[in-house]
Amino acid sequence: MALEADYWDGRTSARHRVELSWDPAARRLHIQGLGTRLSYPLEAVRISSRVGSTPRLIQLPDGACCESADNDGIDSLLAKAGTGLRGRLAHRLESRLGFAAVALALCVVVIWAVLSYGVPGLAAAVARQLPTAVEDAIGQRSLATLDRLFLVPSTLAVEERTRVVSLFHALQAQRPAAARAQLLFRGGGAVGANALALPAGQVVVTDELLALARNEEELLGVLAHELGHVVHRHSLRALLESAALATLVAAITGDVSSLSGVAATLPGLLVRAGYSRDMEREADGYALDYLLEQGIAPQHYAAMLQRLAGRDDPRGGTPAVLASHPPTPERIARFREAARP
Amino acid sequence: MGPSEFKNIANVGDAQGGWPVPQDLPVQKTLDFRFQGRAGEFFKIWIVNVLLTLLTLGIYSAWAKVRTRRYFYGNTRLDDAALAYLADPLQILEGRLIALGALVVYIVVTGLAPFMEPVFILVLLGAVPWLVTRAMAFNARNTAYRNVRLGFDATYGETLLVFVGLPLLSVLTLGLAYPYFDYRRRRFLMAQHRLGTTPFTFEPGVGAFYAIYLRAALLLVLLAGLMVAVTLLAGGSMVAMLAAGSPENLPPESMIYLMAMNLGLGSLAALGMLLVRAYVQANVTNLAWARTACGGHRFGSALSTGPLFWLYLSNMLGILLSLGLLIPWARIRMARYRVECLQLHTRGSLESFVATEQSRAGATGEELGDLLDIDLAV
Repeated sequence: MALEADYWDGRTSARHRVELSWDPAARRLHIQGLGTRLSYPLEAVRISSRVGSTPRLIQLPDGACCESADNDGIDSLLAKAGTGLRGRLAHRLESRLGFAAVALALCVVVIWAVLSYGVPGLAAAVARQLPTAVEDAIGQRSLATLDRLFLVPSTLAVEERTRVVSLFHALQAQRPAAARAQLLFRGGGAVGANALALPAGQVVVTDELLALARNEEELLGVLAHELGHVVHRHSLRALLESAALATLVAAITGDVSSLSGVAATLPGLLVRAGYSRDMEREADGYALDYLLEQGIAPQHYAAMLQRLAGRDDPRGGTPAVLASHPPTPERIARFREAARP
Repeated sequence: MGPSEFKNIANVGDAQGGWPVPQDLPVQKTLDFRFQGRAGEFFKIWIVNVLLTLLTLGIYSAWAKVRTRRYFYGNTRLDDAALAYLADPLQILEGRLIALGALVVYIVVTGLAPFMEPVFILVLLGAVPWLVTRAMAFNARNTAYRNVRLGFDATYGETLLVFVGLPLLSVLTLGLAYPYFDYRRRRFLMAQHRLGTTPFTFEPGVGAFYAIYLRAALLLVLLAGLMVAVTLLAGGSMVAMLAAGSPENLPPESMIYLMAMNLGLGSLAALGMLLVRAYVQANVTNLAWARTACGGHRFGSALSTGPLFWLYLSNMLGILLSLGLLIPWARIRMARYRVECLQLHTRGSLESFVATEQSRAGATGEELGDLLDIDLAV
């Protein structure tokens, strides 16, 4: 059994065509075609693992090497020598379409699990460990950006402000976990009626939103929802989840050119929107628990949501998969269900 | 030639007069680089790499990188001999872990003490030349053709100039120095390599680079003009509609029209940028290869803007629509095009490259140099 190969002595780039053969009794590799017959014990020779159908390298102890395209021949040589499996595992996985299909399915499952549980879980764990100084710094920067781009100073009357602040403090008194939250008033500007929670615990309510609320119960629901964001550190977790997602995408598509990065952002948007909806549901749940605990009818929150949704343009709006909040009917239904005794 | 020149030639060399005997000219032959990789075969390697990397939380990524490189190098042939990639995955893993450690240190320290950030930036800038040289030397030393390893030598100062100084200069001159940076970078990358003892050479001359970038800038201006024209033609009616009333009063059809316009203009801009990028890449790459030689053999590259633009576009769309599954296909296509456009105009045989002392001693042994040199995943 002879294998055809090219021999290079490692000193110059001169090629010699040789034949390799295997002596099972002495466990030696013989090389013929160089004038003198060379032979090496198999243990002294390093044979590269198989990658696709690329040529195999047989590296000899003196720095020379043989290159052979006869992968099957070398595999059977190794099998006869009894050193078959070592180094062949990767190729066996890579060479059969069936394995590739299984690998693909497993990848999908693993990635789904990582995205659904791994990334949010990791972000939550890291958020818990981060010192509040870091959050405060991020929160200050976020507020500055919002003030610069969207929000305007509030034009609310002093009595109104005092009323809402005392409402907020009463809420905080019952939820010591939200003690670091801080209420801020702003004019909505382009954003309109809205309430936001920022990483340092700032809760921003716009004048337009306060005007929309018909009674205290409705306002309490909204404030409780925002406190839910603060207590669960959603803003920070959202930032960390984005970072983790970006790292994951970079790790998988690692060596690919930057063009694939464009492709990666669309799935990223979908995933981030999903995380955002989960957090909104969590904040709604926090608000619901508070209202029920205080004996306040949950329909008030549902009514507020209805009113807020009514102001949105029904023809516009983002598709459900990209939306940052769960669909409003779903949220309203949840609170109306809870109202039933 | 006049009679006097005939007489001069006749008196030189050949004693009997008449025509001088031609010297033995080295055989001149143009060899094509070939790429034999196939998308189907590489997909299976790629998907197993991804899965094992995920399952091992990234540890397998070093082996994945080596296998991928071995696949691409091993399928690249010149004169019926393939390139070989010989790196040990463990060294790559070591390098990656060190890089990860440094990243963690950076995040932690700057998180706790933000004033350290400028210090880190300075240290990083100072370390870039060292990192680049180390990574290039590692990759060169672990690449072989006909069992002669490549080598890479560069001084710290030179690397600092090319990879830190010139990018800064480009930024300071608002991009005017960028063609010069590209020229110096490509010259540096080619000319600091050697095959065994034979260095690569790069013919100097920055003018041609500026010519390409100037043409690309003109192309960009042309495309911008086209977009302005389209906007004015189609958007004129838009302005009229908006003037008629506030946006809420617009009928749904014009909202859709507005969105379509935005989308259309955006796509046109993106395609235009892609075209310009393909133009620059094709021409600069061709120019750089045409200037490169090794041991008297000159390289040649024949990339074209059109096919390259189509490759960029179809790869991007393919990857997007397949949610990433067509990444291996895209990589194979790009590699195949770039390699098969490459040629070597040889003078003489390729059998006379001599390996350097170090690479002679120990394809199988461990050297102290290998232990110190780490691949920093560049």
